[in-house]
Amino acid sequence: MKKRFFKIAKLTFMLSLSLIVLTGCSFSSQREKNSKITLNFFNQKPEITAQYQKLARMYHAKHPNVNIQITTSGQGGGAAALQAKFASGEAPDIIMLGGLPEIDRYKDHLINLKDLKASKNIVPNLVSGGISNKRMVGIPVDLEAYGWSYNKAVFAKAGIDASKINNYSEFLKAVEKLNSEKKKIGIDAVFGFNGADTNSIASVSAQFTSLPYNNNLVKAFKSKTFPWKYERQMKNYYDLVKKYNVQPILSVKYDPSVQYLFFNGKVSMIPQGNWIIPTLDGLEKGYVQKNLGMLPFFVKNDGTDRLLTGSSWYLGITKDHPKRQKAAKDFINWMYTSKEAENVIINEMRFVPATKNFDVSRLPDDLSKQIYRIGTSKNAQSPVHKQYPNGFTNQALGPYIQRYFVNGISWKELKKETSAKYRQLREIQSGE
Amino acid sequence: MLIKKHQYLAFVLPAVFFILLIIVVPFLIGIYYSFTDSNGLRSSFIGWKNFEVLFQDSTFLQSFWLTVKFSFVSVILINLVGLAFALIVTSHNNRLTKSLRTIFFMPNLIGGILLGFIWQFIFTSAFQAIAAAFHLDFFKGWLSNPSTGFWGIVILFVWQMSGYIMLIYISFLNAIPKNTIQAAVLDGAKATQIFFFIKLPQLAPAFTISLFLTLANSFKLYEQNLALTNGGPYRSTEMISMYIYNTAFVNFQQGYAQAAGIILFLCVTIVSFIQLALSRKREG
Repeated sequence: MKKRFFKIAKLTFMLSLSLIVLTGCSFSSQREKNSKITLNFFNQKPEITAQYQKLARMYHAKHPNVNIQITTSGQGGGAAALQAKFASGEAPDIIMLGGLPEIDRYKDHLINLKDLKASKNIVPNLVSGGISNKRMVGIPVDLEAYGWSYNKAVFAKAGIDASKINNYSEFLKAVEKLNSEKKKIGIDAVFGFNGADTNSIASVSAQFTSLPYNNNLVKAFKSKTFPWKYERQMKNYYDLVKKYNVQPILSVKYDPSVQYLFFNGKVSMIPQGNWIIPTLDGLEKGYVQKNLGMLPFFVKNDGTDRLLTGSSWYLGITKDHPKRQKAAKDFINWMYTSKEAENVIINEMRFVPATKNFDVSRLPDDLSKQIYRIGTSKNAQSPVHKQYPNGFTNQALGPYIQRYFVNGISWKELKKETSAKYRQLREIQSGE
Repeated sequence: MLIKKHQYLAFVLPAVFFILLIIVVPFLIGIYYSFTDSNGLRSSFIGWKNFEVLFQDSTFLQSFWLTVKFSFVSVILINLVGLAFALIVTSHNNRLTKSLRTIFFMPNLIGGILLGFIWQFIFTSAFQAIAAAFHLDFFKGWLSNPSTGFWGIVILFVWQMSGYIMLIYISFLNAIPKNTIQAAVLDGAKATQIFFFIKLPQLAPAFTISLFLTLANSFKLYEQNLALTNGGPYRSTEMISMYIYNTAFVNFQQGYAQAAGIILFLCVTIVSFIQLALSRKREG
């Protein structure tokens, strides 16, 4: 009897003790939660998710009370996924936005970043790409160069010196030479233009539509008409591609064009920029330094043509969760100003930083160094294809140029249809 | 007595509640939005304007016409192939036909997106290899022009749906009384005569179900379209569902897209009702 009583007493005691311990735990964790912050970061570039996660871990190690949750949605679905986030009331704290049309959709949610430490250091000709209603609401993710990526080994086999190509007729000569020696140098065709992808078509079109805006991306975004000033050059280049490309041009896709055609030297040029660097070096270490060079499009053709340099993506901070704004600002400042974050960005993402006064020698390859110099020079030119109205690239310009590539539409019709669609989309989206 | 009366409601009400919440309410909101110029964030009422513009929009009419063509072709092909499969697997009862049943049905177990990517590989890489090996131009450049793009989606969809439709035909074929067939055999009927005069008339209800299913599904086709061609080349294989999605979430003309969605709903409803009425008449 006595024994039993002790047993019960012991049990009750242990139970209550464990209860106390448990409640104690939950109390302390609650207290911790109050000072703990979880930042939601909406990323639209799936290829660098792993590196962003690494940055988030590094930041968390230094600031244990800040957690960064990265949500990635890209390749066409990003814009819709982001809208769903806002519609469901779970607005992310940091959002990656592609161009002013997208920034404009969320302008009422974005805060002014003008006083941010990170903003003061942005390369000047990229600043206007993040401006809405005269407020600086976005800062560029990186510096990208647009032009032709060429395979140095293939050029060398054909005896072509890329540094001697300085105008359109010299470019034409090089293309014809490459074509006539196709068999000898082992290429299938001169160009590996991925005609299946409307995004690449749009970024190439920027070579001919950007100059009239002279780096004023806000003006490009507000423009009610599509600029045809350099249409002659545009047509020349498209006709050239049509003639000397891997056929059928519309079944060439981005991934195979980079990883198979270009990497294996089956084509000499593809219309891509430095975003192909991680892929190429991922296939073979040191490939970029050895084989990758870039050539500009010769549009003005007066010796001043350079690679276009800009940023497709901008980061913004929302004001939906005021408590987390400061942490979000701190994180962005850290990403853009601390050396350790920069090292991940330049060596693992293989980005060219969009910040001024960067020590060029830290960049891991010559092409990145060249791009940084061009992008920070006085005559740097930003491409405007990200300022086209939402849907214009995939629904109008891309399909019309694809049609032109297979002779399904004349240049005159292309111009007419493209202009009409541009105006229509712009009017709908500006709400006028 | 009282409990019994309410038991019925207790079982039905939760389901009704969720149907109202998930289907009926969004549907009604959708109808409202088709009369606005919503861009997803802001909207204002603009009356019938969306519908007026829609009927002058060449891209909309083009993808609508493409969907009608596609539905016509694939409904016929799926039912022919499905019926053929059903006849093959019911002709004998041995190991071969049993395994064929599984094989024919298998494509239906794979999701539309995956099927799209698998067939994209077949059409572009495998066909390209065949073209290179045997110098056959027929296999060259699939999906890179409008007609191969169209037939590519048809082939994919037929391949996916036939197995499912086969199941329906099998069950109706097995339900045909054996004695009618035996009587026909005794009277000296040939296999074709047995099929056309005995089996086919008794399959009428199966046609009703199969036609309805294939028709509704082909009108709403989206993910196969997305994964296989994504509307390309130059939007020539963009079917109505994809047109609606792109208008809503790429161009952000959501009121306009909603109007197109309402039109699609009306068309599927009308066509389905006509088809049901016609086949019911034949059944009766």
